[in-house]
Amino acid sequence: MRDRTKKILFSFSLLVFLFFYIPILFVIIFSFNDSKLGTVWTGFTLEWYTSIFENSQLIGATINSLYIAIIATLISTVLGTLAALALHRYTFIGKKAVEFLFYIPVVIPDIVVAVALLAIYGILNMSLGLNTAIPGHVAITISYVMLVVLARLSSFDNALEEAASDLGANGWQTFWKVTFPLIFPGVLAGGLLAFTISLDEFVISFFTLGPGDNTLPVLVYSMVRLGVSPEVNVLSTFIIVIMVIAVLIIGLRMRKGGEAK
Amino acid sequence: MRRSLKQAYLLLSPSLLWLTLFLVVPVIFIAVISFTTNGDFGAIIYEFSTEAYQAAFSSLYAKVIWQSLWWSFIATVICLFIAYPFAYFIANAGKWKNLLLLLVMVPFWTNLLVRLYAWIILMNNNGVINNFLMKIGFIDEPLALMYSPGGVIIGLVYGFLPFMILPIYSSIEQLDKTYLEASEDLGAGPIKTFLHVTLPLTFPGILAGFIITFVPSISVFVVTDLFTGGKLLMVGNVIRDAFLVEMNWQLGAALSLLLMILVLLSLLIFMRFTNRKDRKLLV
Amino acid sequence: MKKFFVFALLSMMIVFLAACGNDDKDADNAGGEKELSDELIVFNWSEYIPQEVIEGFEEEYGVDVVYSTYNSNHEMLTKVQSGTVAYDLVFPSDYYVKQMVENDLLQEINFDNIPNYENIANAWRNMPFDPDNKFSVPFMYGYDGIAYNKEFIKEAPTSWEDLWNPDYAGKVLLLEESKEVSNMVQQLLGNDMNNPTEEQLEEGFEKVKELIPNVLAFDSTASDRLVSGETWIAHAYSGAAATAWLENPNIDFVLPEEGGIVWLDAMVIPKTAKNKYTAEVFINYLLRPEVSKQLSEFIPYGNPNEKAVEILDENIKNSPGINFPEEVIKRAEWNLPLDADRTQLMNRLFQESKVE
Repeated sequence: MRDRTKKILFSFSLLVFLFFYIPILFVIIFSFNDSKLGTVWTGFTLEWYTSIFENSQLIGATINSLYIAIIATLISTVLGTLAALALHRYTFIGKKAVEFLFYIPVVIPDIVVAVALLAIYGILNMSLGLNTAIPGHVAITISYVMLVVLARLSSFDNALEEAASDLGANGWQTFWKVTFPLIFPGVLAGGLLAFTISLDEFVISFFTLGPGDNTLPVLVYSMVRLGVSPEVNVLSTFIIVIMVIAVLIIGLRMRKGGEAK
Repeated sequence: MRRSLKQAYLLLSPSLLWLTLFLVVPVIFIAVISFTTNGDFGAIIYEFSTEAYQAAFSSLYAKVIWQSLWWSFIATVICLFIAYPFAYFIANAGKWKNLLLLLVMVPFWTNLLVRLYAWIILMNNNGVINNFLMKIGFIDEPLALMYSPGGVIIGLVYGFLPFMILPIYSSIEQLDKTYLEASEDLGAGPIKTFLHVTLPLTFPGILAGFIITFVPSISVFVVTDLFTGGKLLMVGNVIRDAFLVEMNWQLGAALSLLLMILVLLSLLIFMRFTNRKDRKLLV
Repeated sequence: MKKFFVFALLSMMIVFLAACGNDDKDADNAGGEKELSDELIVFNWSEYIPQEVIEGFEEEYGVDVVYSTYNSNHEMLTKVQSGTVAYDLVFPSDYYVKQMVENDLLQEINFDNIPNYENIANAWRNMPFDPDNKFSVPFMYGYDGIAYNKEFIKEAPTSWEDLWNPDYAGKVLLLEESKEVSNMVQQLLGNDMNNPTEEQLEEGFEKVKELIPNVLAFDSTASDRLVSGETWIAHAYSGAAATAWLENPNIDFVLPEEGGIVWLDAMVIPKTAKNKYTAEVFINYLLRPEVSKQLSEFIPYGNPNEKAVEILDENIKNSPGINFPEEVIKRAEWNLPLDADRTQLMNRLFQESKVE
């Protein structure tokens, strides 16, 4: 790339980062807001930072959200990646129908999955708990992983796998030593997408979670009846700060690892 | 490696099983509901009726679906123009790329509602932007930044940008630099190289990004709810209301199925127009 | 190797289904033994009971309150009806109580366990949705009326017609639900809001169409827009006005001369409840004057508990939407649902008025 192109790209990307983070800045500012109502600034207070630690519901909901998002992401990343490999490698009868099936979760409004799952759980005479939210979360995220990994695979050089097996590697070795490292960025991107979607899923969670097993979106939706309360902003601030720190630590580690190679 | 059909089914069966149990069964259930009769107070009467479809095929819903498609399409195109150079930058950031990618995602791990409310603080009629513009005397009356299709599109872009960035990133990241060098060696300028080498090679990522941004954004309802105060409708609002406010599951079911068929058909047609090489990616 | 995945997946699903499926839902709760259970499953509107009140109960009785919330009656009904959760106590609004009784979802409350019921004012007993007072205990009431900001609107609004005032263009809020908007406009037209003819519905939404250019948003949580001044006048719940008033003393609430709408959220015990006695003890606890007072302080809705109202701070007692003269209260109507055909027509007309 030429230097000028690089500079333009850099400034443009900086603007995009600003676009992402400016609203977050306001979330942080309004976590110090005196008013209980969401969008009106009335004065500075630290009150919500103390009250949040007494709010066991919020903390429990955060843990529940992470639990569901992590499990759902793991399952859908594995299943979605396997499906993408199959669809990339093989031609078989009914392939089109299968591909078609994978588009349904992307198209269908969450509310449909939510009420239908609730009705089916009801028919099966099941009672709801924390884990009953997972099937729905996985069902709507598998396709995203599959599509992203498949896009990565579509310019994948099959000759590499063949070379590996010619050199005597078995299927399992070939996968871990050759295929997986090559498709990893796609798997990572798909997994991140699944995690993000699951973490923010409200409708399915609301209808398929048991009593007292709130996730954050469910709790936040109930707390915004009077506008986003400052406590929610405080919590979001915590999440952001913790995540940014975690990401920086992981990122720097990965960077060091990268250098070692 | 043995590439038998058996292996294909083995790789596919877990996800097919999962999708069948937790997606296909619900969808069939909903399809059945859509042909039942809507009783008083939302009761589902198991008598065959096409009433819901008659209601769904009205100019009202045609208009709502059309404007949802249109707004989502514009938002998706904007996402594409923002995401491509941005993903290109990250993918070429060398050792920083994983870190930057994660930093893109972090804001999206807080609740969408919370982030949209932050935009409300910025954009409402008494909001930060309007107040600032009025103070410097740039405008006299607040601009309708929210409460308008423009507001909906800003909300959609903000909500779905990562859906475009991630797949594009993963295909740019894989770009073989030797191709670019070869192209330059052969005397092609940077623009020509981009158009004839980079773009075609990263096209699968663009396509995937386009689909996972455009399609789900059609049925979003929070953005219209919060940014336009429920004054503008997307098809997601209508479906949500049918299920949760009007207690007319039949109508909600019929609209969802019609939307599903419409979108899947248009994807199919869209794929016919994309070039043959990339078609193996999609239906 | 791949077989392993399939196997693992299948076994996961089986374990999952088994784990969730075996719950015995037919626990016999008819036995009137007066023993507190370990937990109480409560499903309530969000932002309705402060955490201190729940913790107070947990500490005093050693019961773990499992608390979750909903944002609309229908969300609540959908979940209760599915039978997937054995809620012990839920808080439906007026006619939903009747509907739940008719759908055989509720059980009779044993009022012997609720001596504090005597604190409920006579005006809020034997309500039309539960005429024999068997299934429900009043929790909070309120009105649909007009909230406004005195800073911008000098003369108190008197009629729904004031929402149409062209001076308020872009400053008007309306409630979100089609029936709420329909009630408002049918009252204005002088029709029976709970039994309009199809022509009257159409006429009503023609009138709503004329209002649309004035409307800033459809919003059931008018408070923040009222406080910020983004809205001047709102078709709103009295509770939203009172919440706004706590932050901005210029906010007031009136019932229009056409009547306005009164509503009441009540406490009921679903048939599937496993801890009926504990639920009754909890209801009794909420009806204590000093506890009920805390509820009013948290969100100043109308409190049917007259003993609690007596000990309220003057400040809260005077919040908007609470102290209406009797003749004004009597004019306010109860909301009833329309039949399926008219409900569909109403929803379509409402959406059309927005889209056009």
